[in-house]
Amino acid sequence: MGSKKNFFTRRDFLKSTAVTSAALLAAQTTVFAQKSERIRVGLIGCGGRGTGALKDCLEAGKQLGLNLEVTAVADIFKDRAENTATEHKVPKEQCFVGFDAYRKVMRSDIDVVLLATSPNFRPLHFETAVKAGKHVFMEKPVCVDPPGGRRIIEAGELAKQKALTIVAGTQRRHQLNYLRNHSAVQQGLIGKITGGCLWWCGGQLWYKERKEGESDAEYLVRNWVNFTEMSGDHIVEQHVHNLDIANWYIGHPPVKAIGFGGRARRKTGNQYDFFSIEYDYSDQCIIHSMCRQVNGCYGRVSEYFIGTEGAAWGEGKIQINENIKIPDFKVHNNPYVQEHIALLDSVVNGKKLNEARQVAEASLTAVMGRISAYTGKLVRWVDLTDPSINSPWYNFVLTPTAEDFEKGEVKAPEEDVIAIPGTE
Amino acid sequence: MKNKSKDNGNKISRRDFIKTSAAVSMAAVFPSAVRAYPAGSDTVKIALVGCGDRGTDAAINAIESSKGVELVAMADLFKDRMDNATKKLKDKFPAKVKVTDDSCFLGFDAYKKVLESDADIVLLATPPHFRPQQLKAVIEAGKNAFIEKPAAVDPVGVRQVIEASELAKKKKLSIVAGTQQRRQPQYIEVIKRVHNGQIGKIVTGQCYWHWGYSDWHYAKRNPKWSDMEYQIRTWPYYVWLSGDHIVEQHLHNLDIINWAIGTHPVQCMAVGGRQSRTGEGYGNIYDHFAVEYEYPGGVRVLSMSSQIKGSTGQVCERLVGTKGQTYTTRATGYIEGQEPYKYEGPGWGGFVKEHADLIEAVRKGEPINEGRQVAESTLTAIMGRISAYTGRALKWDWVMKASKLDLSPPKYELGDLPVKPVAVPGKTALV
Repeated sequence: MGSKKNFFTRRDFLKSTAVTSAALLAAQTTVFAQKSERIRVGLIGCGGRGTGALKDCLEAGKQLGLNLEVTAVADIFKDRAENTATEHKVPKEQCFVGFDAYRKVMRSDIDVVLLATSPNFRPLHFETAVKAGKHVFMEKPVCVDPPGGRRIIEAGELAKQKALTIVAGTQRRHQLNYLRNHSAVQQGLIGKITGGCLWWCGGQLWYKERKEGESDAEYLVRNWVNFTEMSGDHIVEQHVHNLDIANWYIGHPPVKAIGFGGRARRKTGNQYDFFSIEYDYSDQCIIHSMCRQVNGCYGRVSEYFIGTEGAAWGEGKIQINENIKIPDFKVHNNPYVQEHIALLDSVVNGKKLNEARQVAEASLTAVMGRISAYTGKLVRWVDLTDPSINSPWYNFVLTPTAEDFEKGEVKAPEEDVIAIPGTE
Repeated sequence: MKNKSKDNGNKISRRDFIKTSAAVSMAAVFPSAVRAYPAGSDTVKIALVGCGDRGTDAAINAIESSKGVELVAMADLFKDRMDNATKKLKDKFPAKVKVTDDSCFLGFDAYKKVLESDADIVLLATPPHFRPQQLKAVIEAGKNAFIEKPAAVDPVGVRQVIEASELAKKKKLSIVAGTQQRRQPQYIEVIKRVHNGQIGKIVTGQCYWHWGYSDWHYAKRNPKWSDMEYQIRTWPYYVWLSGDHIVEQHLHNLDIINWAIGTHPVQCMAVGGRQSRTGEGYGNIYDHFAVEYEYPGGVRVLSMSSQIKGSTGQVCERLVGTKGQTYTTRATGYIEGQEPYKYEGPGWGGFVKEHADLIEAVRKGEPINEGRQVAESTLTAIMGRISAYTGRALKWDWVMKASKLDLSPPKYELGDLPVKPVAVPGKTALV
């Protein structure tokens, strides 16, 4: 971070030739360049990740020599929205509060919107953003249930038609070592991938006790990483990063999952705190995923792939032979900034980068594992994606939904009542 | 190991040879240095310790496996179990079951009395907790042993089994273990090919015992039963008795992986929990485990085991090599890849063969000793359990050499015995 190295030649080009760049933009981009050189950014979800993403985006703008301006913000909580608005000099009338605040941001005159609420809102917010013609950065995961994942994919297709740029917060895809190793693996460094392991075994995340007089909706939003309906459970919310790497390195999502999990130490909400899932990627490739959020346990966050001719870690050191030619990836050394550089570069240069499907598939991969753990059943990808299968999971929706929040019809799930696999 | 497989293939003819030419075989097969049999007879006498379903079936398997096998003594803790077993066995083999009231013993030390009999082989089929102490006593008494799996429930017990196994070697006694897949033809044929390099170098693998069922040995408590009696009658649900289901049941699959790879893992990390089977009477075991075992050379094997009613069942092993992969279950075995293979020959159960091999070894005075092998597979499973219980990644050497975990109760008597709490990862201490 903060490196002044010449990592991005286009940036220097843009900086040093502002006049030329304006001409270039006008020629190459569609909607944006015709409007203004100024890029107006809106933020939905002003929590830790949202405000972090905004800073990363502004830093990316700086790196590219672009003129970014934060023009609208939204949050459920007034103080969060106002603090963010104040910090970024957003006019008061452009600071929106409430479960419908996102609509007001979408209606405002922004070019790019950052979606950083809890994941259960993402499909609705994303769909609205695409329909409103906004370029999108969306945090991972992007859904908590199968219909949500499919909604992201559909809206992603619409975004393609509209030539919008969609970037997701699976920042490993923009991280140098992952890019290098992915390239090497694609070129056959370890032969055909026949197995592997994924881990996000770490400590407990934060949790919030319920406040007196707090509404169900407010409590759920404040304590969102502890309710499956809000986060998708930690396999979806956190482990999705590693699952995304497996999908990326192998080239497609798995065909089925069988696994389990449980709740050993979690204090609030209704989530598990560990999962272990076996993902069958077909063609004799089985990947084991393990994730845990329990303090005092062994920790490991990584990915490991085994092939017919070797093995490689997701981002670890690799021995490259002469048959492998790794491109000279020009990326910022902070992947959280780099993902926004990719976003803005695509926006201003009309590159139509669209990561909606890949992040939806990674999220659905995690959802598939969670359903297997919660039910004790083998769950197939087609159960979640193919209506002709008539699977009960195809239309499985977690409630309260994002729409329920907006309508004000929210009843919190019971505390500490968790999924029990199998049957009596 | 390969030699043993070969012996298995030849075994039937050798046994027929003994049957048809008893006089010659006596002179030819038994050199004077080894176990002397009563003149003019090659009867092998067996005793049974643990007269539950598995024990009774093991005795039946032993009697049916070979000619000239007699059951001469039995031991159990409970009279009703003993009565059921003796009736079943006497009905089936009236001439071969020679036990009387005087040679049937009850109590925690009943196994010691069995050792005073003239049995050549003692079958140990009690709940796993008792195995190490009983095996030690059997070998010290100069008798051969058939031991059901698992061999122990904790590292202290595993070390005891290995010591007893070393002593058996010195005394030229046999120990055969109830890991019966080692004697099933599809396993023998597939793993022989793995050892011959047919799937190349093993790079990863998986093994599962997803049972889809949960209520084995479950019983409502009879008010007359003490804590101890209730726990022993429903032993699979208590860690101190069964080792938890990863040890008691999934051990079979882990044993296959150890066999195929040729050694035990060097480290592991695991998760597990008690999610579905939580009611009264289900003791303190988990209902699911997932373990990543790392073998030498960075070979990672996923182990999954669950006992969850209504969940998807799957019991098999899979090994992935650079040139292909194997798939084995209790019903089938095949290899896919560059050199495919499928076992198409006749199937047979390992339950009988293991006794045939043991009895033959005793008769020939050529001891088989599977003590260390089953002890290592048992420790493989125990290591996974401890990792899941504590949340800690573990190294084999530490568990084998340094762990002081001993789950024995304070005393062996039918009285009070509070159930220890269910393990909580991150909280349960590593011992």
